[in-house]
Amino acid sequence: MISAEVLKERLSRGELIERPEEMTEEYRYELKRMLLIAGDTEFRSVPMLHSYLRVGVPQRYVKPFLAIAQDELGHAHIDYRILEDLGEDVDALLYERENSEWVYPYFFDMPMDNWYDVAVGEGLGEFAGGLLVRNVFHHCSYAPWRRALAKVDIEENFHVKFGQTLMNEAAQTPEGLAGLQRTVDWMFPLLVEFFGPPAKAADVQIEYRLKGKGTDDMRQQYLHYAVPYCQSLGLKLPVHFDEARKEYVLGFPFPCHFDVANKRWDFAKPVEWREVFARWEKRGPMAEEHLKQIRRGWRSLRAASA
Amino acid sequence: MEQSAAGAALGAQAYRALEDVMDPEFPVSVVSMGLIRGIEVEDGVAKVRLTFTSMGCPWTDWIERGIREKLLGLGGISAVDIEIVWDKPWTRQDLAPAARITLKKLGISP
Repeated sequence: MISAEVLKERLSRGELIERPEEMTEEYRYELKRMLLIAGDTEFRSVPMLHSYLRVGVPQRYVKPFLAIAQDELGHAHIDYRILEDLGEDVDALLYERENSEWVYPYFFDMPMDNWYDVAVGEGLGEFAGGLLVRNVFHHCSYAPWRRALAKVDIEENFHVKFGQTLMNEAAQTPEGLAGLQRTVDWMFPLLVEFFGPPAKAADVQIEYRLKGKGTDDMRQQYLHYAVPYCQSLGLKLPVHFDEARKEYVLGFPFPCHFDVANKRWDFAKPVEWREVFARWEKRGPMAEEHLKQIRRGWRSLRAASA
Repeated sequence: MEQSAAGAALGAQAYRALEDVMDPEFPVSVVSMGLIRGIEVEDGVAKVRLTFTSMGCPWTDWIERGIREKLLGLGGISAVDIEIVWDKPWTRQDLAPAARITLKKLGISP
């Protein structure tokens, strides 16, 4: 095992890490943490995609959604496969963890009640997920992961374009636009929250070049996409662009209270981040059903191969 | 039916234009993917013979829409008639050499 000084010196020269022997314990821990978040995010998006089929996806979009689910499983496989190389038991990760131990965006646990939820989930949600991938793909010092993300990056880009098509189509009628607005009202703040609390002064994952940007930069990057795009469709978001600071400013306390059962934000009720973390750890309304679905598939596969 | 000189020129232009229509899943055009089996233009109607990499391709509507939008944007084409053909089926041999290199760089065995 090499020392932190030697590793940081190598990384400062732009070198890439190829093998576990070249890591420090801390580097390995942070890399595994990021791989778990990435893998869980890809994997747990699939039960949500599956749930879309219940709200009446038009026939012409059924195969595309199945193809996207297949892509996401492929991406998850890459992340988990690397975790396996780093000593993790992937079957245990996938089938033995309780929901509170998974690390993926909270909005995957929300019920998708109508076609507008699906369209916005794809049009705005996929972009948020794609940013996480890009933050690693363009910067990550662990070469095996970075190489594997080339295909993931182009597929995530395409998922966003597909999602935009769904939103663009829905926005063609006043009724459709109103439907999209209702979804954006509850989903947009969740997506802003997706990137996590404000960036720490020192971020060891950036120091190790495991990623390039911190949470605030990522959030701004997201807003620079989502706000103009939504506005171009005629959707209103509680956010404005500050010309002096050259950045988007949220028009609500961040974070604030979310009434999960009714999918409503209370902008008059700011909360502490620990309350958000508690909500995340408790997981959302669909989490238990989605986990059961994953375990059911595993059990039936094992029974069939016994 | 023999194609007119003007039709042949427009057909060649249309074929080149389809180099801008990208496969949804890879950064390779539908031409370089080998999906375009033929294109003729006569009396403003573009007749495109199109195949897909598999019969279960999930993006058929998307690809057809991309082709229509591109060709209708060209002067001289007022209608696009797409015929889906499966004979002979698409294979990797249909990929253009540059497409093979692109896919290989992405870690996809062409």
